[in-house]
Amino acid sequence: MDTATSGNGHKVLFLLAVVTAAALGLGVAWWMAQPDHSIDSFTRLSGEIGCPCGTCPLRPIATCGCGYADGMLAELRDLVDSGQSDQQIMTTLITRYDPSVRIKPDVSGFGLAAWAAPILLLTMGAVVVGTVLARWTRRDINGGDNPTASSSPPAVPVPGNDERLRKIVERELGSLED
Amino acid sequence: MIVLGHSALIAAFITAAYTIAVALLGAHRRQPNLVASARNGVHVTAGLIVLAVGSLLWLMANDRFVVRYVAENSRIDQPLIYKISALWGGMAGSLLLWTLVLCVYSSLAAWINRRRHPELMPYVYAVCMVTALFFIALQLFAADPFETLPFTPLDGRGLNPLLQNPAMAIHPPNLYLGYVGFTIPFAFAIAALASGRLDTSWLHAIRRWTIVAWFFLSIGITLGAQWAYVELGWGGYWGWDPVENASLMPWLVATAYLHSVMIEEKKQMLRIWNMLMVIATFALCIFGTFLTRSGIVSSVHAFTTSNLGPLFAIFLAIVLAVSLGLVALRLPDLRSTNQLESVLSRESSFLFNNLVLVVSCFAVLWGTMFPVISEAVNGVKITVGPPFFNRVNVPIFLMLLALTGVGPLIAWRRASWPSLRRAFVWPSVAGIGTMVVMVSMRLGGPYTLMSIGLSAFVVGTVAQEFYRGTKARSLANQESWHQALIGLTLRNKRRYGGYVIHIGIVLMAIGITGSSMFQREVEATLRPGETVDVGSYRLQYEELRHFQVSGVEVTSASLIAFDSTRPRFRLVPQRHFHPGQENPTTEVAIWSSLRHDLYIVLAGWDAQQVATFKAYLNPLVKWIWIGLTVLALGTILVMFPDRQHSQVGIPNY
Repeated sequence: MDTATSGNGHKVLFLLAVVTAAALGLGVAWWMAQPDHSIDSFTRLSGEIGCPCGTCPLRPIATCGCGYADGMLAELRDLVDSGQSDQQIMTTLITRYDPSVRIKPDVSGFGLAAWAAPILLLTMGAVVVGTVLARWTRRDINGGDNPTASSSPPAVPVPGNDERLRKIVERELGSLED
Repeated sequence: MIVLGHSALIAAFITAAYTIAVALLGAHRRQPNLVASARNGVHVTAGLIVLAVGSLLWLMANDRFVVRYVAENSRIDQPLIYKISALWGGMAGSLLLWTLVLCVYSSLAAWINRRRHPELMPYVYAVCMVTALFFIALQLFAADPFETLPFTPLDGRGLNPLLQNPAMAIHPPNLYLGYVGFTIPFAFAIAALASGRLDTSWLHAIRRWTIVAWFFLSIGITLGAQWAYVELGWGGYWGWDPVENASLMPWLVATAYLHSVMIEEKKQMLRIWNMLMVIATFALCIFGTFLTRSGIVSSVHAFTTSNLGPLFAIFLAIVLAVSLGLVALRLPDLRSTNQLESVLSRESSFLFNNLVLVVSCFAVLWGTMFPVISEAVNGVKITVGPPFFNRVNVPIFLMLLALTGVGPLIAWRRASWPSLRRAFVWPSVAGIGTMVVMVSMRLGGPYTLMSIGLSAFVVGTVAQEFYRGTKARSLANQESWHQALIGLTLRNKRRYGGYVIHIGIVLMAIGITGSSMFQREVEATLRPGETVDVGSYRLQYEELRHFQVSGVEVTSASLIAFDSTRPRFRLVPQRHFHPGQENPTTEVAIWSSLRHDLYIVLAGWDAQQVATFKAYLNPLVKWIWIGLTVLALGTILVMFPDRQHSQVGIPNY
């Protein structure tokens, strides 16, 4: 296989990896944003509604110890007992209080970006790190790709490098003279 | 004293400006006398700031309420310790403390390196003093700690009662020692970029500074968690509050740097990355300071909203523009042409460790700023709270825990599959075995299993490393196991100290997992004599009392905790009503053991002594505080130079 074909192959592989990582990242982010149905509605929502009292911002009413949160918990209990869905309950509470009581970003719209960004960074970052590692284990001291590096002895200075090495030595000696 | 303090600040402003000028001139003209003058400028600036802080402390200790800061943060009957800790209880004082720590660190760095790194030091002085100049300017022109009132109040408003806690007396100074400590590595990084001395000398110069800053930041963060646990009364210690997040972010990036720098030291690779990590850590420290003082996000810990936000934003923008500009300028010199020998190497695991740490930092930053970003992008403020942070960060932290165990098992440069198999067997047995036991006992869900299983895996890794090293040394030197273990650790403090730190992290991970996954909560309204069960404990409510202590109205309940039928201990949760404060503070009662904490909050009461309690059984919380102690011991070990390095003249780091 010549160098050009090999280079194209690497590009295709990289693109495939990027697309896969993006799809995986979005999938994981979407899954993470889903409500936890293994717990009951009251427990779930009390962990996703923030206390609006002003002294404990963003703390879920489930854990906030203030009296305001206790009142909201009672209110939430009534709404859950009335048989409303999570979405309906959330809408009711947002109307009664403020949109900021929802402390878990929604799965739709711009809220999804909150979930997607970190996970996409992780999956895409993994692709980049993998690619960088592959490149670094292939290249020789000139910085070029060396497909046989893995079976070669450790790289040693080559004649083409003399000029660069000479400059480095001169710079180092120059700094010593300073 | 007011005039003295204020004059000291003005003088410090002038000397800092002078230091910057002569340092840069000295570097440009290569004149040692100018550089020496700059060094003296750093010491003088530090001395002047010490004088300013001393003046403010004297004013607070002597109740000089004509000073606005003293009147707003102190009271006559406030205990002396809280009169002193009021120094960091308000905006202006906290900025003064920032400046003090920075100037003392700068002075120390100047003194330690007075005969080293002649090309770097002028720039180091300049960067440190530019930062100091910014903070002094803030105090002189925007938040003056010596500002006087037109009248003298009879008494002050007092320190925020939430801050009147022993942990709060030491948590902020530790946090500042950490935050500000990262200025020195940053200054050396900029000095290396500006001077073109991009060899490893600047790395050696900052190594211990970075570890010291990381050490204090770790202690500061954990003490902050302990303060929240004891003082805020909601049964937890970490609420993903923006200010808590602000302290975690530089810690994560600094941790990434402490790992990736090893690759640069060994292979001269990742030079751009390491430079960026040092810059990012400092920028995040400034960002955290901005976050607490700008009012841009709401937080229980933030200072009062002020007009300092835009000034911090401008300073941060300048820091980033100059730093990244210099990196861009030196890019050709920073590029490494070295190669990795194998993808299967410790270098690779460190790269993934860096990725995970940086992603974790990004997730925290993104979540913290998302309300602001969403409002700017589509006009609707989307609030992000603990449900988001927990869901996103828990899997990331589990990956990190896995890499903590994997890293030490893979050899530097190149690992072979047979050696990997040998290395992984026992740690994997420990991890999988623990998970099997947990499954058989039906303990916890998937995250709990993974967290505890991975913790066991990491402990297995560390134990194996110590065992192998001790065994080899014992055979080679004919030493006893005890001698060999001590000798091994002392001879390779960086490596084995690092393993001790890993154990500290594992203990904290176990504590966090236990307390967040197995917490039990009970709320009960009781009459005197009535009982409520919490786990294996029965709590009997005795009585409710009201009394006054040092001007504070106290409502105090007492409960006896029975284990089976035996009375074990008494718990006294309280509510304190501080004069001049709107809301009472919660003083929780905690009985702590290695197994769990029994945590009681007095939630409410009426005139008939009927009281409402919230009782929490928090498993393994003590492990977090023990983990911090172990982490601190490991870090102290790492800070000391390895003996063989000292002998052969390799830089002591």
